[in-house]
Amino acid sequence: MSFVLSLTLAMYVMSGMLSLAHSVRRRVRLFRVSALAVLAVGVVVNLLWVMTRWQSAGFPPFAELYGCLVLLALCVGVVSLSLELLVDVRFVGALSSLAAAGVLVFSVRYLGETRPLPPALQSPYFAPHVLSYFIAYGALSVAGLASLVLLVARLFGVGAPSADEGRRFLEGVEAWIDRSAQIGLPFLTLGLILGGFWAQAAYTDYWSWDPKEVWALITWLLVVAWFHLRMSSRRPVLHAALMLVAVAALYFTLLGMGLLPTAEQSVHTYTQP
Amino acid sequence: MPRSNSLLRSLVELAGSIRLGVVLLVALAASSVLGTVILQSTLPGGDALSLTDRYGETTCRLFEALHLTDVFHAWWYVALMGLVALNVLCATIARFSVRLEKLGFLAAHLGVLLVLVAGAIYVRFGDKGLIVLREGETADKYFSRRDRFYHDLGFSVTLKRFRIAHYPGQMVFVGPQEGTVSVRPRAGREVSLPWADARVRFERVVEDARYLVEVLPGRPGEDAGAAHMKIETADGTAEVWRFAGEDGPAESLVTSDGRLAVLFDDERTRGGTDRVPAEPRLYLINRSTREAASVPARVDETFKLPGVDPPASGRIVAILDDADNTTLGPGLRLEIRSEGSTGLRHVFAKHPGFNPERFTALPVRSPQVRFVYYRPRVVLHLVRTPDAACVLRSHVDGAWETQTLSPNTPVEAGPVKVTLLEVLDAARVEERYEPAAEPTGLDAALLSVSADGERYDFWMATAGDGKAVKVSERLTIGYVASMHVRDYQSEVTLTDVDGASLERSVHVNRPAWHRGWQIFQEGYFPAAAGSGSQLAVSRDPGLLAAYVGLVMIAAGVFYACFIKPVIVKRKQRP
Repeated sequence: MSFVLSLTLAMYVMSGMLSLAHSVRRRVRLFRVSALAVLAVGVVVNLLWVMTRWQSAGFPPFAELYGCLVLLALCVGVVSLSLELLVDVRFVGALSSLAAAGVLVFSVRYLGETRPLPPALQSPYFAPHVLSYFIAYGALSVAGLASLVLLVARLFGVGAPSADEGRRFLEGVEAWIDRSAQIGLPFLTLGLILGGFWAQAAYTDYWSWDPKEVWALITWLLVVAWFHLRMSSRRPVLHAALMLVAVAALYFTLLGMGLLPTAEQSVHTYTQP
Repeated sequence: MPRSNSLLRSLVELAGSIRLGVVLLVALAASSVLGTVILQSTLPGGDALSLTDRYGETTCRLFEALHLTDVFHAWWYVALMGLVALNVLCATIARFSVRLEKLGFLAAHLGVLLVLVAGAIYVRFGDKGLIVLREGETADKYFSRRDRFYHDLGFSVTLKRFRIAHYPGQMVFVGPQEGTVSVRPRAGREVSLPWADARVRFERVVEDARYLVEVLPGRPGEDAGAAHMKIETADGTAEVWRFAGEDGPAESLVTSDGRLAVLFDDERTRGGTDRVPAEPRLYLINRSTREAASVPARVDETFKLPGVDPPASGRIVAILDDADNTTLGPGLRLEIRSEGSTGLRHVFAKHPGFNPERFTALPVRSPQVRFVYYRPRVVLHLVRTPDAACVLRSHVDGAWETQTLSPNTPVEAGPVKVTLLEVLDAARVEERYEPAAEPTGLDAALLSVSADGERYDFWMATAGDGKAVKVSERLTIGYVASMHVRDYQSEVTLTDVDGASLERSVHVNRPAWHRGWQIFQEGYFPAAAGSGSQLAVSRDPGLLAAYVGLVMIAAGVFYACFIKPVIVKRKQRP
């Protein structure tokens, strides 16, 4: 891992720790302020890596899974930072920062030689498609983490010392889920549609029931189902469970295509491990 | 709605309820999962043989009964989509209102309906297919992906030029153990290889090179003789060298239009003039065992695939020779049987390496067997008799004719005019490379290698199977073409029935439009398979509706998630 990314990783871990400290010791404002500042630095450094890599290669560094995962870490960081500024809620922000760090650590598995860009990827849709998707993935990852916190809190009653504070905590977590999902769905939709436009230009079909396409659709359907469930029912545990299923589908779309028997039938295998 | 319609209203509300929507969305997602965990017959590699191979006879029958090998076109999947559409439609009607905060809801839901309608329009009225062309060829039909027959395009496509560009290749120096060095050749660059006691200097480097071959007199008694001929056909003029006894598999005789075979025999060194088949034949060549078989290309001829285990046999089902002037040219439709399963396969005379089944749902197996449809219309067989006279045996319209050739005097053989230019008793080939006017994807370098006190100068190129040169016991050099294609494109002329024509350039990601058709650069054949451009055509009258629908969905969702909350908040403010 390069120095810049090591620095980013250190910032994300440090921010996660400070945020965790703030979750436990609510009175100490310095923890929150420094956690946010360190996260901001991490995000800027992470963005710098993406920009310099883009600049030096001459094309978006998202043709390999490695670059995509670094972008994912950035998106998780950005969404987490902006939500943290809007809603101060315990544990969720800390987990998000640590998740961004985790994605960076995981990305090292896919570190390898860069390949030149194949003709199919030389498309004006390439960068907007990938960027939309990873903004959505970052936001929905945060929504998934918050859903996990909500489920744990609801099912085991963790993190609710007093009834009043417990209620406020749960409301805060729900607000995180709602806001991150509200960022996630539009960009997920945009990514899917740009992918369709791109496939139409490159492969003659905006939709061809390719396994990767189908899994992108499954993810989208589940997130859309979550929005409709959120509107029609008041059962936070059910919402959180559905969001977790949707996020699981999302990560399967990103990483799991190699496990499918139909994977060899797929044309979208550029970034597969 | 008026009160009298209250029953209808409650029905619409029920059918358009959000909860039903959630259930349908989750059900659609779950059914879609099935279509990715079970091999799909509509995707490449999902033919009947592969399916029975994987799941066994019984499971396969069960899957087929439940339409699980083509989930996305199964009646129950389409019905589920229909229910989603009904739900969306009823929801839109039940909650219809033109308030500002409802705009996103309206756009997204109407967009979904529009996309589904657009899909149905494509299924009913659209089609997609393939056109395969070599430079200079014209097609006015396409090979439909849907029914795998030729259909009229309504205009003709002529491939003026096909260009392919690769990223530059790498020169690889391999030693015994010490190491492998890989460099990108650059003129003047020197590479020192102490472990091989060698130095290499790149004298010339030509990226996008043109291969020039010169035939020079060789060593008598060791090298085979060769004949140089000029052949004029209606399509153009070509000068060819043919080496004596150059035989090889039948595919090497298939010339660019699949109709002309040219051979040379020197009877003073090698006899046998019966090796020239004049009838169309189907050759089956096992690539691994080198076993070969052939049958006349006639309907209902049966054959066995050589050296295949489990055994497989086949039958020629149809001859596609009416496709002579169309996309893929003449072809055979074969039926292959193995272990109780049956599948179709196509083989085309001009494009031995092309296999349309990759793009459709038809079964194909035994990848180790190469199918060649050898279909000469004219066979030119030049024979040098023991008394050094040159005789041309030509096979035209089912009859052999023999004429004597003298140098530089053209003779006619049916539609072809042949001129003997030169005959060498012994010939060797010298190759060299020059920069081409346009990208060729071929890189070449002239090396000067000093190893073990000796000096060698030679050309290497990235063409072919990457021949390696063994300079010494401690040094082998390879020139590896980049497998990475930078770009490929077809320059085509589109001619309407009324004769009006226009020029278009078709790139990957940049299709051309003409008369409701989109023309795509889909693929190409490597030179070894007889280089050609593979274009895809698509007619989708629902495309505009689909695009509008998709944009409406995206705009609607963005509106609902980013703008609507602001509007709602403002309204709530006192």
